[in-house]
Amino acid sequence: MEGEREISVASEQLEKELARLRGNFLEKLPAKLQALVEEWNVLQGDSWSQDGARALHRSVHGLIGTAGSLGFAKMAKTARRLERRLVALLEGTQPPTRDVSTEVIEWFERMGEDATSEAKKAFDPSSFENMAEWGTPLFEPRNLIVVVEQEDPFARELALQLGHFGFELQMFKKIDEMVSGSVERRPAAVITDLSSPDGELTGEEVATKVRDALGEVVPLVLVSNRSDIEARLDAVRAGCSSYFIKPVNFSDVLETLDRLTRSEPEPYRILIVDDEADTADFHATSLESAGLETVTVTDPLEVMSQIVEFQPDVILMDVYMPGCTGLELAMVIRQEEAFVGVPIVFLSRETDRMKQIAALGEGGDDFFTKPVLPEQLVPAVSARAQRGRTLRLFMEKDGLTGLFRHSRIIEQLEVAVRRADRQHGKLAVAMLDIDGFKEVNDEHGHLVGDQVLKALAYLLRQRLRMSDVLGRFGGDEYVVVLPDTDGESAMEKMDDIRRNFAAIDHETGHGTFTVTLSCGVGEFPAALTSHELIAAADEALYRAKRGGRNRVLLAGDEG
Amino acid sequence: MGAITLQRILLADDEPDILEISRIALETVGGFEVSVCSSGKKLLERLSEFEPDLVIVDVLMPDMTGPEVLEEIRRRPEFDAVPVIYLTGVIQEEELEDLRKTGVADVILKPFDPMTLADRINGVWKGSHGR
Repeated sequence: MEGEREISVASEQLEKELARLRGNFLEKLPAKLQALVEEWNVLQGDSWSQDGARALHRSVHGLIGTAGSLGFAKMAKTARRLERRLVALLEGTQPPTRDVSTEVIEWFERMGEDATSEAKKAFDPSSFENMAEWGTPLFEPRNLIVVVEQEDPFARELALQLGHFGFELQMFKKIDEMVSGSVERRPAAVITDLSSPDGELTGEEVATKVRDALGEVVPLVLVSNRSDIEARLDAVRAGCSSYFIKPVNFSDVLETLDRLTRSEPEPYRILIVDDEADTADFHATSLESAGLETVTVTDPLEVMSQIVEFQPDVILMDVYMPGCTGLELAMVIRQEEAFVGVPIVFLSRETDRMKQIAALGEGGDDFFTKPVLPEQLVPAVSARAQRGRTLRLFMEKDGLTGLFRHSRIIEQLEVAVRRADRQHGKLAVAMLDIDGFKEVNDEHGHLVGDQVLKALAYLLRQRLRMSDVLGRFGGDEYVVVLPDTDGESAMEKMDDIRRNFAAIDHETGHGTFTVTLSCGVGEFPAALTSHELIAAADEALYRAKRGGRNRVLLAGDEG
Repeated sequence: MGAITLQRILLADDEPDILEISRIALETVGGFEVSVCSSGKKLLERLSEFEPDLVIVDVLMPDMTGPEVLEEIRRRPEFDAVPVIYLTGVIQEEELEDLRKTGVADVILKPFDPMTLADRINGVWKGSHGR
């Protein structure tokens, strides 16, 4: 008992000491941050040096430890993010662009705001629990684009604009500068101007040089003054992905890069429904060894939930099963509008051709007689899966932006909610709306308006993770489902998107203009269902609009 | 072997605030006698005079790194059994792995919880004295 009392007295004393240290820290913080901003400003001018940047990095690194240990968790997190940005700068040799520079200053300011807001709240010891997670990235690594361009203004414009979309750029003036080892990782694409100081190059020459420098084939985008068919044919024969004639329409380049950097197609998903576990296993093994993904259901009554969860491209189903037959099950599946498009392939020992045909009448797409050899099963199922997926994409994806349509995003959200619920996980939903989009259409026409809509889709695709689900709700409203993400992190991501979007120059043919967006974020489990999450995000979006637009707000937060 | 109970801790970090937080946390909750220095060199100078039972050293200091300090300590026979603990803001798993391989008794991540710091150090001490 005595020992316990001693400990609590000691903790009380430490609490008191820590409160004093927190007070001191807060008092000194504005001057300290000011000094760091000044240090940063000095670095910005002509005196950029790696040593100077390293010293600044060390100071920020130190602030993380101090702020975090004193319980200023939010400020420490902000400092951690700034540190990451500084590390990225240290890895390069170029001084930061003006955008990055402004951003760094904003991070410093935000650190001060965080500390002040946290000082008002009671100290929360649980803030220490999640510190280990701070290392996990909010974004996936950026796609690297290599640009070879001798004309400075065009190169600068390209670098600036692509940067806003989240691409990382590496620039060369001449193709000959791009030698083996000069590009540190595999670029998603190489953009090259065919005009060089040594005259006009051919597509073949460029393709060879790029291949030699990188040691592998990467997508090649060519820019040229020549519009003759020979030059274009030459480019096609050299295996180039795209060919642009100067002056280049910037949104065309973006569209190409967006297409080239879209993720590799996922493997086809096959749902196997068979009450005989051995048979199901045999088919699963054949399909999986060919690179397809499978899930097996031996109880037919579990099929519906698996269809929702696994989202198969093809259902492979036994005809005779206890409980219900494959034919009945097919009818049930077809009654759900969302699953009308999923191909169903029947498997059975049934050899009666008439019965087989009857099965197809009930919603089946094909019929195989067991046993099926892998060399027959795999191509047949793959072909079905491919067509099924293409068809579904037409139905599910918005033609303009390539993002999911309304009904589909709700479905995906429901899957995410169930998962978060089951795993007691995190989940956030963001709704975005372009500010004054009607005026864009009125002033510049619908074609330009469509470019703006596409630009936002490209930006979301570049900046967000593969696991994030992106959709267009219609009009200029977008929805993003962010699994494993809490509201605060989602806000941070969306704020990064907001900043980048506002910096994009949209072309009109006569000049350029910029637009902003507003965003509201809802989080699970504050909102528990897909409906509540959307409503919460929508409410926050409404407040963001009313509060003056160009901002990101969290549902339930005041102000 | 050194003392049975942990009494004297020598601590080095170039960040004055962290030094202060750690010192107070170790003194009040742990009841240890703590001596602090602002650099690796100063820590090495103070070793003979203070005769610590345990050393805590920041990994990233301008004059010396934590592993360099550890190496110097191990060169001196009278201190080669003194447990050394790193303090670090590093969060990359590979880097942490490399740090753990240097013969260090423990690696404590910054930021840390001052309330539990002394317990953690006590745990390391008991671990390194076989109980």
